[in-house]
Amino acid sequence: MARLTLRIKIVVFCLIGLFALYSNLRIINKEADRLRFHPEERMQEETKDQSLGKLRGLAPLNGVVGYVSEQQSDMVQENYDLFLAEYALCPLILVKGAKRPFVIADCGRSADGICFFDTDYAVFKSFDHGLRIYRQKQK
Amino acid sequence: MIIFDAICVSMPYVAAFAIAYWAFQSPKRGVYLDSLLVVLGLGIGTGMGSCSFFLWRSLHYPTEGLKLGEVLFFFLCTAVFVVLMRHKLSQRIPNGLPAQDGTIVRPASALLCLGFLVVLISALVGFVLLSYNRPHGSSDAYVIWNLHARFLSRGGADWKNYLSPLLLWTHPDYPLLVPATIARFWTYLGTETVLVPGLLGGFFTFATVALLIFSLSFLQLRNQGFLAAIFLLASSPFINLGAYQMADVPIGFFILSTTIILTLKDYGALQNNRLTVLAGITCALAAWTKNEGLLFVLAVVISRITLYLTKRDIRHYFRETLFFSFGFIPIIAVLLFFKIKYSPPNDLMTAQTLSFAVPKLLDISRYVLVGRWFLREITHFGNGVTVVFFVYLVLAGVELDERKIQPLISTGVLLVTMLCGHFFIYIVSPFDLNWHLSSSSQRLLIQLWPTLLFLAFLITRPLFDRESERGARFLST
Repeated sequence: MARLTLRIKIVVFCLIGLFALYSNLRIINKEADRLRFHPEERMQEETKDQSLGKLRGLAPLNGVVGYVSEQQSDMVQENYDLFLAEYALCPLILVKGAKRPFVIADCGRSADGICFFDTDYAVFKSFDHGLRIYRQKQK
Repeated sequence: MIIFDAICVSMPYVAAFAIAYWAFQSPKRGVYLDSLLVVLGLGIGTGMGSCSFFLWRSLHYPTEGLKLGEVLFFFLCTAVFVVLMRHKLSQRIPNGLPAQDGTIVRPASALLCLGFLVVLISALVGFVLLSYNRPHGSSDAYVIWNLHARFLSRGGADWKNYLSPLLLWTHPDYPLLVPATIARFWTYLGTETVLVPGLLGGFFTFATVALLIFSLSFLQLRNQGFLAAIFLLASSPFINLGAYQMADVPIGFFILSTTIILTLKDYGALQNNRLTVLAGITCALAAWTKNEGLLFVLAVVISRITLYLTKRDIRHYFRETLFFSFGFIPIIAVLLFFKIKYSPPNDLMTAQTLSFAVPKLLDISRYVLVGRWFLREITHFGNGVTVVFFVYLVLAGVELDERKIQPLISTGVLLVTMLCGHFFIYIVSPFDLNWHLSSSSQRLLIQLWPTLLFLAFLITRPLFDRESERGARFLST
């Protein structure tokens, strides 16, 4: 670097600086677009967190609880729903499926708000946005 | 009550500052070392607070117990180090103290400073937007780190629920520095605000930048510090992962901290043994942040043995290890307590048997695939920032003197060991290799990228001549 003239060094520095600025402006541009055109994406997790949060601390939910979402045909989406539900409802342990005394059915996107059908279970409590708690019937 | 809470929450930081001040004690410290001390103190304080919170949580004490316990424990810790500071323990005057900071601003230096400020502001705006758009962080943040934090903060006696085999997808074996820090602040605040993980991500992101600037300003030139920081801020994955609230940026912070402290020691800048204790703390905190930190501990051991073997002075290695362990053992004991008492086995390790690993180790196609991925990641990293970086290195050239040889060997071996370790973890990976590489290889580079920048800007010739800056730096003797 000692052999380069000061002018060339300044050019080298300006190029590095411009590259850095370009890199950060790309992030700003992308995020500003996301904020402007897809504001709902920002609230996706927050909305889910709040709606499921109502169930937190609700007796008799404790320990391990079943979880069913309406996305059962799409494993990625179903997992995404489960992860968000676990995030909202911890320290409950949620497991996919309905082999537990209590099952939370998260059917907000279904037209009729129902996505869980099992004759062994009866609705225990209903909430907004297709959210229901089912309890296993006594045999 | 608020004042008492504020005192409680800041006690680990007070203790960390006392330890860092003790380690950095020198008759002429200068503004860069003081600033470095502050940043390191904040990082170490965060780590120590997470340890105390985890221990308190595992003992099932009430919140009042946490407050009193933290105040008493960290007050005692601070008092011990304040007393230690008063003793003049074989204080060796270093042969290369930084000059007084009588900076004369020259045009080239001013240009660099201005350029850095513009890039820093743009990075800050980008970071704030990224955080605003993802208040809960990326999916990994709310599936792993923030979820664990919620278990720790809300769980009461049920905090251990996330360690259940039914929740293996949340990686319950991951260490707890990030979750326990978040949970600790939530507990003190009494609310689970998303600001806490966001600010923690911001702290580690920009504290890493600050570490680079202050350390290189002290050891090299301020201009080199700014230039290294510009390269780091130009790395979009680094800003992204920080805002996504991932633990890769915090572990990168502790890897860089350990490297800087060991470099200061190798330079003979300050009282050696104290710096070694501090390096032990930051090294253990890296292991307390992510499982990759355990590989980092191994890499530190290998790099230091290599250094002392090249110096033909293995006796001093054992002496260094002794002081290193003073800082290392208390934190690693907390990690071991977590790993032995609570954590399920790591999914990468449980599958590893000889009959499972050997065929993978003998499979050449896996080496080719992993090698290609590494090459691709390195060349495509951050919109090609690594390409710009390597072109710059070629243009700048290397300026090695006697002092830089030791950090070059130590940090160079450390980085190579880390890369080799990651490489072989992929080779024996029990998962689909393409998936495993695509989901993690960039994050592993992020952990090492600040340390690579530190080493590179330590040994490269400065962009602008020394005459352009008369800042705090080592005087050649």
